[in-house]
Amino acid sequence: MSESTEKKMVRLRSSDGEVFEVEESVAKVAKTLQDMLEEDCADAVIPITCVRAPILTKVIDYCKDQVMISSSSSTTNNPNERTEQERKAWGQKFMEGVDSSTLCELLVASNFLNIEGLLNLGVDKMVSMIQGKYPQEIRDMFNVVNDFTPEEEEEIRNQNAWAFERDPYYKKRSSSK
Amino acid sequence: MAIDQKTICMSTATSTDLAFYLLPSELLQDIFLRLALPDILRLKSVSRNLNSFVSRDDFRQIYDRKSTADPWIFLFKKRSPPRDSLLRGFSHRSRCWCSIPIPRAFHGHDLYFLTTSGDFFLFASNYHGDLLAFNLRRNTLERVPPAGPLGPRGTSSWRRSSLKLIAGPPGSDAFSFLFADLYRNRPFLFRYSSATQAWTWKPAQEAADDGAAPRVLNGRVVLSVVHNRGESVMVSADPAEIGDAPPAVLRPRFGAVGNASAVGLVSGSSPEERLHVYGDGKMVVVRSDGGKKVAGGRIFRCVEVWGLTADGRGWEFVTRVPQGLLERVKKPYRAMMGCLEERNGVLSLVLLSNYKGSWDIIWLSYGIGNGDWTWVPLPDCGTKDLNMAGIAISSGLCLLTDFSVPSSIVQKPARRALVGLPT
Repeated sequence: MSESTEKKMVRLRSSDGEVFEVEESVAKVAKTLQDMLEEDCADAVIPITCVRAPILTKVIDYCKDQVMISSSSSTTNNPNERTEQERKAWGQKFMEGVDSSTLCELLVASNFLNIEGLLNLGVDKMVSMIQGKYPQEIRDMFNVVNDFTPEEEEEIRNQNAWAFERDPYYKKRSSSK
Repeated sequence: MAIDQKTICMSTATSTDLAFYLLPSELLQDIFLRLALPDILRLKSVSRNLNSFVSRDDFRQIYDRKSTADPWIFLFKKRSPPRDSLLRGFSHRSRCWCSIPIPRAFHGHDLYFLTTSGDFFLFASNYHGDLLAFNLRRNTLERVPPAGPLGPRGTSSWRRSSLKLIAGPPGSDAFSFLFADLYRNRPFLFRYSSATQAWTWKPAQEAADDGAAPRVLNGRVVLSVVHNRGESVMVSADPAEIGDAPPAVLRPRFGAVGNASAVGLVSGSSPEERLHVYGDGKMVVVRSDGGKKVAGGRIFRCVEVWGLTADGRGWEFVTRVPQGLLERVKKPYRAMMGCLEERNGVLSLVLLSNYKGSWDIIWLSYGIGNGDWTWVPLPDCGTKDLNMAGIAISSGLCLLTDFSVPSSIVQKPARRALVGLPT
């Protein structure tokens, strides 16, 4: 790809109407956008109708980072290149402080825009948020309404009583915080 | 215009009502497939939506295909009073240990945890010399009578590499339990079937001198009888009772390994200490620097895997834990024991070491196909006050009651059981 096309800018409009201008290379990290851009629509503002501005900001941050690490990868001794461990640490930091509703929106966005790396980060985060949690904690975290009758809930618990047993060490840890 | 057709709005949800079960279902499935069984079971009681999602046949089938193969570590922590005793379980998909309370009917027993497979957990009761099988799914208890002519056995008579619990056949809520031991000075195979609630026992046949037929056959269970210096006595048997070929005696020699000590805790003060861990026709040799170098502890410097040769007459080198990985996991220890299991082409090795009263558990797994060693870091399970009464590796836990043939290995809780040979 020539330099002039790399600098080409693309405009994206979030569901709440905010317009973001990004380099084409950044937008192309999203496979869905890449496919669109390969058709002739350079002047258009691309509407991303299911992604709100704060989420799109986060998505663009991710894409910019991907461009940054891949741009100099052809040169030897790329200072931006990451080891497996650094990649993990970066991913964790990127997802740090992301709450459950933001996470859900990020997942929907990266699924829709087809950004595999971000999708994987989101899935990892989601798995770690659910692991070891108890039903009420999950409801609280994800705003899920308990629509069981107490009897129904009791019955489901009794079927798999062992899975609901509190880990005494888990308790200790959470109460000491 | 092309863009407008492609930017289909998936949802006009706002951040507050975008609960996670509104995620595309393939995404939700990806997430749930990575959760351990207790997490899935808990999700069932979160809401109707989630309950029906994880109860769907297609989800359960995909989940179980993964889950059945997942290796788990189970520890039995003895406490006083006995009702506070707990089984702790961990799989690589878990974030924390799950706790399984022991059934009320167990409270009067002095229990040691022998082994587990699928939903079944087998305990030896020290007071009565019999066995108790706990079915986790049904929350039921079954007493296994003493094994035929051997009569009641103390918990110290059981050796983990000499027994195997096999859950199944699928959907039957049944299990069989096999162990090998010397009876009238001959290696015998003892087999209990929960379906018939009866023991059968057979002498294992010695290989013919010409050694024509290979004695280690694919799909056979290999159980230890005795590991002496230079030679082991093992028994190979069909996991299923119906149509089984007679159990066969294997006498692999340690020629290539040198002088081997008995299975058990490393003891003594020679410059090099070796611990041998047996399971599923494999042997792990842990070599440690002995002596007082590290404040009275030892550090292992080499962990090798050996496998039975095809004819069952010797051991051949399989692999060793890469030095880099060893550097990451090693810790000083005073006593160490291990469990070894092979299943679905994955070798699971658990090394349990004690240093100044505190236990450390190292879980390593080796993919026989790809040659990769991985370390599964374990969260704290309160190892300081751990009154260990058994550890086992198992698999076969899943949402449905349909198991393939899992296997498990047991470790003895008492020190004398670890070093001693059966009397």
